[in-house]
Amino acid sequence: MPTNRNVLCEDGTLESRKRMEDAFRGIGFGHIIREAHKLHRGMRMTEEKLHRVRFFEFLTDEERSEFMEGAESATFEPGVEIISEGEEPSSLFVLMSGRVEVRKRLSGGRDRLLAKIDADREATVVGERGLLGTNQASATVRATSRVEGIRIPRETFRRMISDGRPAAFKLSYRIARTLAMRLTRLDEEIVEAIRDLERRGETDLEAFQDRLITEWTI
Amino acid sequence: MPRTPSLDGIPLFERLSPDERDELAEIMAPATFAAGTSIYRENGPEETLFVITSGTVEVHKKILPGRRHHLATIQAPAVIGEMGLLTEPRAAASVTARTTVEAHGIDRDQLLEMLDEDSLAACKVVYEIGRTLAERMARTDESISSIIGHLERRNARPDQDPDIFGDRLLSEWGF
Repeated sequence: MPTNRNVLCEDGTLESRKRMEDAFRGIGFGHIIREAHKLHRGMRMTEEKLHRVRFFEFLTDEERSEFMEGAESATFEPGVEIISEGEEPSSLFVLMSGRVEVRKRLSGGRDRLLAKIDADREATVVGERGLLGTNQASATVRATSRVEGIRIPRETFRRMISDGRPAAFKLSYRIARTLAMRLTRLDEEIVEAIRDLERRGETDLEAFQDRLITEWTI
Repeated sequence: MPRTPSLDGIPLFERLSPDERDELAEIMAPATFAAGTSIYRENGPEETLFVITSGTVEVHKKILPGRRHHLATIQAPAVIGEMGLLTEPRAAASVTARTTVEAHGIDRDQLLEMLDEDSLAACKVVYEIGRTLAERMARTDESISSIIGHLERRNARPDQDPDIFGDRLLSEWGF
């Protein structure tokens, strides 16, 4: 009876199957273990990074881990678009380091700088509206230096919502509050803008009023 | 005892399991407003969120001195007062019942308490509100953008300063 050390291989040679299997197993497992360690180390680092972001501080450690299962590290070189105006809503990005600028296209091929964000000073979240909404991105976020961050894909978030995962609903509460606060300030600015237009004797005031306040909610 | 209007068919509650609906029902109270009754007064308290199950309401706001501007006519099913839940409980506009309105009132403080305790039922309701706000924000952004573009295109008059106008409006851009 052949021992483990002496089996007939398909090509007719005797070989130690066990030794071969061990060798393959060693390579396979070693590789997998190394990768798993790398992944785990990456996830731990990412989780630790997320913990430092105020936006995520309301999540428990387990909930942060849930997001990390579907999240990925993202690096952007200067000039690269992180979010592109007019494209489908995609992901939420937590920018951990680097600088970005936010620009909006205007008519006549011009664009306007809306904001400059320095993530070196404080980690910043961009793209949160895309997780909840279905509209295209309304501005472009572009790296102006090397940017490192974490990407939480929209599909991951949607899947977590479909599965009824509390972490995703808690994140949407946080996003809803951010949106509501922005909208409240926007509404106040719109009212001020309409008053300004009237002071300037704007002839199309009625038309502007109607356009500006059609989306009012209370 | 007043009849509690059904939650069926109201998008806000679609994702809730029967148990979660029951949990939420504990902090809900039926409310009926006769036509012409004030539901919120501009700058007044907004301590209750209303889920309107039947009827129509009108929304007005004082924008220019001495004038009330009509902002919207809202028909059931609809939710009003959600901004007060997520920001401060002060009504940004007045809401008046145009017809008889049947609604569920949800106490803001109790709902916030549920959210603080990580109630999944409450979080699901806010998720739906958040989706509405995200869509609204996108449309508002586009309206503002087109108006600023319009003002800039015809800005031949030296006394106008659309840049300042634009900067201020664009500072709260949500992308």
